[in-house]
Amino acid sequence: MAGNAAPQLANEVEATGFQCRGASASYGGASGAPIFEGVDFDVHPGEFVSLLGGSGVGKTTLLRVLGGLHPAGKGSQVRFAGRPVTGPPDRVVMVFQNYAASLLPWRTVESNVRLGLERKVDKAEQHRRAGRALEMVGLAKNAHYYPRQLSGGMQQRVQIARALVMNPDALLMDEPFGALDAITKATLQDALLEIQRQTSMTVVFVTHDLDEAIYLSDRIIVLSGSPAGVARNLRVDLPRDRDQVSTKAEPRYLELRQEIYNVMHSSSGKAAGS
Amino acid sequence: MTAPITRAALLVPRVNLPGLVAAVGLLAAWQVLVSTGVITFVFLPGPLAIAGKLPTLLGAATFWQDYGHTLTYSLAGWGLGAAIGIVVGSALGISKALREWTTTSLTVLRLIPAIALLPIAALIFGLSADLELALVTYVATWPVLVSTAGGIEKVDPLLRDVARTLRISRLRELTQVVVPSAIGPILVGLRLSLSSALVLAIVSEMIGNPAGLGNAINMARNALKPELTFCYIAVVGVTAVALNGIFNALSRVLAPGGGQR
Repeated sequence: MAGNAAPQLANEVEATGFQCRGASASYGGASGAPIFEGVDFDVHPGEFVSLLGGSGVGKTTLLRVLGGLHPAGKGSQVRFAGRPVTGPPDRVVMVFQNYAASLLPWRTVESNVRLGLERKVDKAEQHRRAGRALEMVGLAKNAHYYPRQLSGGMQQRVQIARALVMNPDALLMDEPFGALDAITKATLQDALLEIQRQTSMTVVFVTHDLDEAIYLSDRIIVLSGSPAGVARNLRVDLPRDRDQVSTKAEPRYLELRQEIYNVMHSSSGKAAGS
Repeated sequence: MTAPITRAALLVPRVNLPGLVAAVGLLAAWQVLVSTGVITFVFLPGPLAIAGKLPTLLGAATFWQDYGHTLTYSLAGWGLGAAIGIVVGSALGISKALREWTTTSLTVLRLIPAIALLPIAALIFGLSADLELALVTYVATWPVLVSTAGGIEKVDPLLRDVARTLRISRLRELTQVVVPSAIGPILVGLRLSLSSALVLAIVSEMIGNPAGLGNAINMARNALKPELTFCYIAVVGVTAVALNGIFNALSRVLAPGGGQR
């Protein structure tokens, strides 16, 4: 049944993109209260897309559906690289907000990064790939530290390296910088943009921070309502080379900011949100 | 860079000086009460009289046979109980359905004093070493089972999401992520069951399997040799403390920080 739906679109996102048609999800199985309904969007290969919305709107659950960690509701079509998502797809890796609790405290940084490779590739390959991933996030010198010896920002870099080591086609990031201070956050945002430029991974990024979404993304999908739906799907037509100071001073940036703010503001009023 | 504390350093127990002073003080008070004649009870010798018997006891070959027997059965029963406790406890910690179906029965079983089961065990195994091993294993299983199940149940579900998104096999998720996360409570269970194992070994030697230190304590008592009886008790006490100390040292090395976050 899902096989012959929208074949042209399926081809378009064949490589490493996501496709959502009529996606829904609910709490506690199919009979529970719906979180979002009728969500349609595509994420193209190599694109950086942010899912933006207020807290509790269901962004994280939508991301978990893309990552195969939460079941999609009846009749949903959720595909990665043309195949229906029924569990965590190969080469799609999630990075969680709570970095401290998602690292294994008894393993060193390097050993944490190798976790997903063990028993899949040989030891030498594991070390080689872990070393390269740690270099990409700027932690080559900290390989033998334990997570608790690192700052929050560095721990989140470890988690990103643990995802990168899998050579992912797509990275799903759930408010990865939400718990970090402003300066660390800006540094990691730029590091992430650089990594994405090098690897041309597809990135789906959940955030409630409007500025973060505009600064990082090629496209922003605003979710609102209860059950939530796509309130706006808009391209961020800013030059790809972003800069923390000058990009945020561009007139186009400010226009986008104003526009998205209005969308979020009006919809949160309607939904009687916090 | 490695952790600043080396593994060898972790093996050395720290001396608790105030605790040592208090223990020596108590022994001294006991000795003073006995030698000044404040306590005159023929079956309560002073610490010096007991210590005086110690070289003879430690020089006897039969003592070391008894000691070896008790230590072997305590540790064997503890090891078996720990293995059963970790496996069954892990299953209970992972499966909510299994917990719902079995918790009531397990709680009832667990709360029956092991010693009350001795007559039944004696019927099944006879007054033999098997009886002793069975009782020690039984009593050693519970603390490990309960703490493993509780520890695994409380492992952050986020870690299981991590394992899933990295597409780790279910078995490796269990052995590499879930069980190590519960290492703190598992170690607590293992330590509790180690001391229970020694206690039950001695008790079952006293009233079930006539062998080992438990039996030797009985014989010394029946022979009206209080110094010797106390010598055995002291040996058991020191052994229990030593086992606990060795276990703590090993767990500091194997799980630095006791699995703390």
